[in-house]
Amino acid sequence: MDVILSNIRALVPGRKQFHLDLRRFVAEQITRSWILMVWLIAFTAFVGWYTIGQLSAAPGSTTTVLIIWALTVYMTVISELQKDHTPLTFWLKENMYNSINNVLVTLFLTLLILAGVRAFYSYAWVNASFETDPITSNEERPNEITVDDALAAYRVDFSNFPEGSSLPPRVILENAAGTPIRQVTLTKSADDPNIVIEELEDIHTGASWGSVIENLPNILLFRFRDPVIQWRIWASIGVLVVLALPSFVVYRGERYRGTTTRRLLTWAWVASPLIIFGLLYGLTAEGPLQVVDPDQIWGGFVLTVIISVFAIVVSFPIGMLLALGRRSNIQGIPWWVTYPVAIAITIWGLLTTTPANLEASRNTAETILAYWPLAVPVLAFFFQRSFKGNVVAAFSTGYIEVVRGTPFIVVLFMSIILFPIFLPSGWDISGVIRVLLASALFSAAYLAENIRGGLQALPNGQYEAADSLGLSAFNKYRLIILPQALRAVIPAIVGQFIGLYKDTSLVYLVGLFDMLALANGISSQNNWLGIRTEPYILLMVIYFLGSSLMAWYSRRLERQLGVGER
Amino acid sequence: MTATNTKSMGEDVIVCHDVHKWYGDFEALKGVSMRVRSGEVIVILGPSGSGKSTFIRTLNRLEEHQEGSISVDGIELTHDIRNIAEIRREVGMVFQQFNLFPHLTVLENITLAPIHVRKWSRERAEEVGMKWLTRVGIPEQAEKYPGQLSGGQQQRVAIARTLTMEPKILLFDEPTSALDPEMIKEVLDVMRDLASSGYTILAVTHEMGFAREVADRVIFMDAGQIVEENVPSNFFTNPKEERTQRFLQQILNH
Ligand SMILES: Nc1ncnc2c1ncn2[C@@H]1O[C@H](COP(=O)(O)OP(=O)(O)OP(=O)(O)O)[C@@H](O)[C@H]1O
Ligand SMILES: [Mg+2]
Repeated sequence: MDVILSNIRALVPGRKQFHLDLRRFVAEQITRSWILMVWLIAFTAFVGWYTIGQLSAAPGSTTTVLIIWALTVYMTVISELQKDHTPLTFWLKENMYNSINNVLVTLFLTLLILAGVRAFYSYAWVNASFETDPITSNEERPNEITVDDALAAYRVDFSNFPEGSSLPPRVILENAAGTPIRQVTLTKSADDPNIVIEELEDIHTGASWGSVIENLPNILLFRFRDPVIQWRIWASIGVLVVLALPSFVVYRGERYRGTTTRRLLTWAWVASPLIIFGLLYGLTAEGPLQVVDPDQIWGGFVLTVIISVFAIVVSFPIGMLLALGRRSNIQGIPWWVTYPVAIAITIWGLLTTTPANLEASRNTAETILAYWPLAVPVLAFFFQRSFKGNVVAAFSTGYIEVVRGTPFIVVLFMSIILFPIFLPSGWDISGVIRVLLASALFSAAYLAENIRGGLQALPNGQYEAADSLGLSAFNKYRLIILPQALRAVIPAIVGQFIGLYKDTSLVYLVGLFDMLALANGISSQNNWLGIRTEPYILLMVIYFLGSSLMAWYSRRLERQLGVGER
Repeated sequence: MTATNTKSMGEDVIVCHDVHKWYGDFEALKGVSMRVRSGEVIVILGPSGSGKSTFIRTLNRLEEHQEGSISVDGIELTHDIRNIAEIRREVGMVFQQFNLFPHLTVLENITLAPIHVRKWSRERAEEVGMKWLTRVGIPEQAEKYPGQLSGGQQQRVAIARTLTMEPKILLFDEPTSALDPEMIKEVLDVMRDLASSGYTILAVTHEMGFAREVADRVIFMDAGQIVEENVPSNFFTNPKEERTQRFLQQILNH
């Protein structure tokens, strides 16, 4: 109440002296440079023109905005003149109305946003249809009306169809405001005054949410819609809920620290991916947990979640090892071992494989490739120079850099097309499984770099303190180094996982029934020919919800773990 | 000076012979030899960069020496990690920067190593840990995180953490150098207390008062070598070496 009162007070001028140096004001705000003056004139004209346009398009909301804008500008100006601001006018002065230009920008942007909101509102709600079956669900409507009724109810201009001529098969009926609302197929015989309406379907300029509503189960569950296996989805969710609920209590605070309950729950969490995999993939050839073909059955949001969770869970330990590996400083292979071995391989290769390969070579590329042994000493040289013979560091670095230098989509295609070539014949791993492994291995490289950043940021003293206390290397990393390093990079890691979650849509391109594939499929369904926008909006919402959930959890985790941080 | 005469000292617990240490091409230790007897309190002095830290860090293998031999408590320091682990159990170290684990509470900092290295039960570790926290005068801080303590309190926690492992030998590397003057005393008091309870102590410190009062022996290092070893009374009033005199002049003038 006080706030309102004090702001009203700002509306009443004249209680105090005005502080206005008009010359200075004009000099600062207007005549400072001719560019500014030209700009202000042009911009004022533009905003005025835009406002008038908006006034005629949507008089109510535009007028409201204009009144609020004028009032607040007035309040701010009066307060500024009296050098007596209320918190509101001060904020306005600092953030909205701090120059003539910004006063105009504020109005313009408000109207622009309003227009956008209005357009979306009428698209998504006012003019939208929620019918899931656009053709046949109009039974409650009359299917026979007289021409007079039709003329009375709808503005249909029949005049250009002279008596006796056949009516056009399809007529669009408009309501009084001129918005098309129905599309009808009419027939009329010469002697019957009634028009028979064969089909009556809604015409609407807005969204056809029916397309999304009808396809939602498919987009979310894909083949798990099938009632025979649908319970497996609910059971999986059930497992997670059953574990999540006690976690809120058991992992909070000190009460359960070090207790068996907590240990059991942790083990249950560790086991849960296996249980869920068992549920979704199946365990036995027959029966309720029959093994399914993931290429056929997994799809939609279920597939997105499976890929994301699998990649996150599996890439974590791998990424951690790669990060530690890249920093490892174990004793390297001495040069006097590496170089002789490299030279031996080179000579052996040049003597045995090169002549045969040269013989068989069909083009320059193959000729060059035949000399591959010559690359070995070069690699050996870099191995010694950059890694001092440290195999672990060399492997980790090589893996990370190669993977980071490859686009995800290439990795996916390789997993689908190239990978089977390396498998022994008769072996076949399903495409989905291959994509799962590829995503995890891909993600691991990025994760490794994020974790390495955290390791890098830890002061050396932490390692030394752990060493001087006699902790084993394993415990040092488990209890001291990794908890701190990981905590420091939670935002980066979660950012990466959000990216991964959204990148799962790429599996559409290698032929999996991802949400994107299913959404695209809608536009070729009979009822929804050409409809794409609505399904994409749905995907946007799903991806947005998932991403913000992760972001929210990350912030929560940071807060929780931030206790006592330096 | 009094302690020196009354304390009974045992056999050698640290024996270094001709220890050399290189950082790349730079030779940080150039043949250091010394013996420390059980219960002895030794203060190491020397100008910056003389290799004091490097030397005491070789004693628990935070730094590796390349030549010469070091044996601690009868165990030879080699590449064998079992030897290193065994030595680290017997040698505690306190750092200039405290190096507490910021993600653990004070009590967790203290009980971590006893539980995971000495395999004590949590109860026993907490009991011993609290005993040491009480001894260094801050039992009420047990549940706080290191970031919530003053520098002096943090260093005392670090000392308690080291002592809960029940080491025989204590290494201090400038434990008061990162502290404000008013906190130095509280840490030195704890160190004095330890010196009089039979621990073998090697301390790098610039606290001349502490050296004079508590040390059995002062070692002066310069350029990677031990220049002079002396009892404190002689060291400060009647140094043998000319280099020592210059050093003392410098620091006493400041
Ligand atoms: N990690 C390292 N790499 C290369 N040189 C080093 C390293 N650590 C120390 N040194 C060098 O070794 C020499 C001895 O260093 P040390 O830290 O032992 O000196 P200090 O006597 O403890 O000096 P201060 O009193 O400043 O602590 C110095 O010249 C230093 O530059
Ligand atoms: Mg030092």
